[in-house]
Amino acid sequence: MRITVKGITFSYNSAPILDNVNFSLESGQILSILGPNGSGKTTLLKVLASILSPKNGAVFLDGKNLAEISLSGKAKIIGYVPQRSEGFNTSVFEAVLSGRKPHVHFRIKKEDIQITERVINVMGLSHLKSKSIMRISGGEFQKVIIARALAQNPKVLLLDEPLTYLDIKNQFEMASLISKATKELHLITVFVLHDINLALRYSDVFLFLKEGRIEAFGGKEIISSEIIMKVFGIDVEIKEMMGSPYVLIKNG
Amino acid sequence: MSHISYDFYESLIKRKKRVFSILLLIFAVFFFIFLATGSYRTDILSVFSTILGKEHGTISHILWQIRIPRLLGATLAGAGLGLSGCVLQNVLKNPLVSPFTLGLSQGAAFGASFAIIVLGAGLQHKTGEGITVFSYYPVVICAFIGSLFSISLIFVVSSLKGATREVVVLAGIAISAFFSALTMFIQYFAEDVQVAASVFWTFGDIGKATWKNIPLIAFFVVGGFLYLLTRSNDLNVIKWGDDVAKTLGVKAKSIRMQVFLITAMVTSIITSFLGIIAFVGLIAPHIGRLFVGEDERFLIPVSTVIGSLILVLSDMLARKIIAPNVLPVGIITSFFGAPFFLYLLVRSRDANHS
Repeated sequence: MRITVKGITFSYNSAPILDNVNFSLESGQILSILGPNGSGKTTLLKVLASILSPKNGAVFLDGKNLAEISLSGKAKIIGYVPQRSEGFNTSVFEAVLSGRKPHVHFRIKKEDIQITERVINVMGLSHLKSKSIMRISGGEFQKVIIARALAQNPKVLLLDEPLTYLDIKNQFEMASLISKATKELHLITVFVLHDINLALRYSDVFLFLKEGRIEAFGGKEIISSEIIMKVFGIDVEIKEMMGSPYVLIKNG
Repeated sequence: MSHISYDFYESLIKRKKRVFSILLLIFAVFFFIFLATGSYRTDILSVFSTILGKEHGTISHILWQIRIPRLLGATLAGAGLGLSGCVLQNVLKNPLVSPFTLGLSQGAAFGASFAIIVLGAGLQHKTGEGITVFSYYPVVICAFIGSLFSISLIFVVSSLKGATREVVVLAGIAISAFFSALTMFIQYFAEDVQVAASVFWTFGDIGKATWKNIPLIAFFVVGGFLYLLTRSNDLNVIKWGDDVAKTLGVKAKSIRMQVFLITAMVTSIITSFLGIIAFVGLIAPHIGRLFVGEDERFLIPVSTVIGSLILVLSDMLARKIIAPNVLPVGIITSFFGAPFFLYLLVRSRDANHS
């Protein structure tokens, strides 16, 4: 599968939040969208998820305009994890199972239950299955939300700051799990991340966004202190660590 | 491993199905106890034989003309209110809402009063059983417009930025006060007979259920129930928020509109014929949630049955307290419902602060 973003512009009133955004991704790739607060990262993700419709331009899935695919058709392809999720009193199992909605009419089939179970196991939530999602930790809750999106069996996985509420260990576990899933299931994964080093370690492609415009797009080779200075306005040094670039913030 | 999990889900579902069956059984028991109680003494056995057509005379007349319509009225009205409360609490994500606390019932009551007094729609005549309203349709249509007006206002308020649960409920109280004032206003200018009729009519009273209006109530309550049941998976998903619902293939806005329309219809049909019956729609889903949790596929039917059960029991109580006279059931439901509402308010305050 290939996702192509062509000339996307989005605005609520006059000031554009996204301004002529173009890029494309293929199955098996992980993209990190990087940029300061208010640069349009979440908006871009919502346009990709078809939650928001762009003012101009379009998103194409294998050449097909996303706007022309039915809501239920899109739901079978795109999984979405929002920045903040509302909880309600339901069990972990049923919460993850609700990700099967696009594939369920009224009756829940054996297949839905098996997929739910598999995802729960992979996410390390088995011991919490019958617990209410209101009575688990913030990190566990976030895992449930990611598990729900995976239970959807998506081909495109969109995650808005999915690691924010996790501790360091869980951040790395979750990031490597998502990266593994992307490679094994040939997903297209798009992250919005704040931690550049986590992004560098777990993604193949990077998109720097500033004031709704793409400042840079490409592989690890585009990471430089200049681009980080330009986008974030912060002085950094790029080191090489275990064959991967690593961003160190300079003092003063 | 997946075998074990299938058992896990199966047992979860089995437990909820069992709860539903037990509730139906309890309801069935009270169904017959209801028929056997009243100022005319009879026992369950003769109730059975009367229903089977083996007995005639006074008992048959009392059952078929008074108690059975009354029982069906309580069952249907309780069901409709329980159902409406359940889905309204879901789409507004607010445990404090119900047809009564949002002012739907009062909007419907005003609409119906307007039709009776101003349009002269309900030609009243006194019978032994109380007051019967003829020419239903203007009354029902005006009641529906009244409750639609209430729910539209609630929709606007609830979509305002920063509208908390309490703000929505306060809006409901304001709407109720507004419609109560309007109702009193037209009553003030009405003739004595009409006032008496309209005041008597505003009381929630199951005694107004007759073989004439029951089919119409049944049509809307059963229709609304069946339709909302088919939407229960959508209702489950919109609890995640509108954005996520959309990526799961569900248009939350459209579901919300459908719920508003159906609850306004169900509430107005109940209120047009039986008057305002408070708090049943608020309480039933709360009890339902204790038994089956949030899964709407079960919560909808369970809240519906509990609504019926509450109203049937309340009406039995209403007939007992000052026997041989009968209290309007609305007084009973308010008497027990208002403290419960206060309890929910206090609990919701705690939740906001923690």
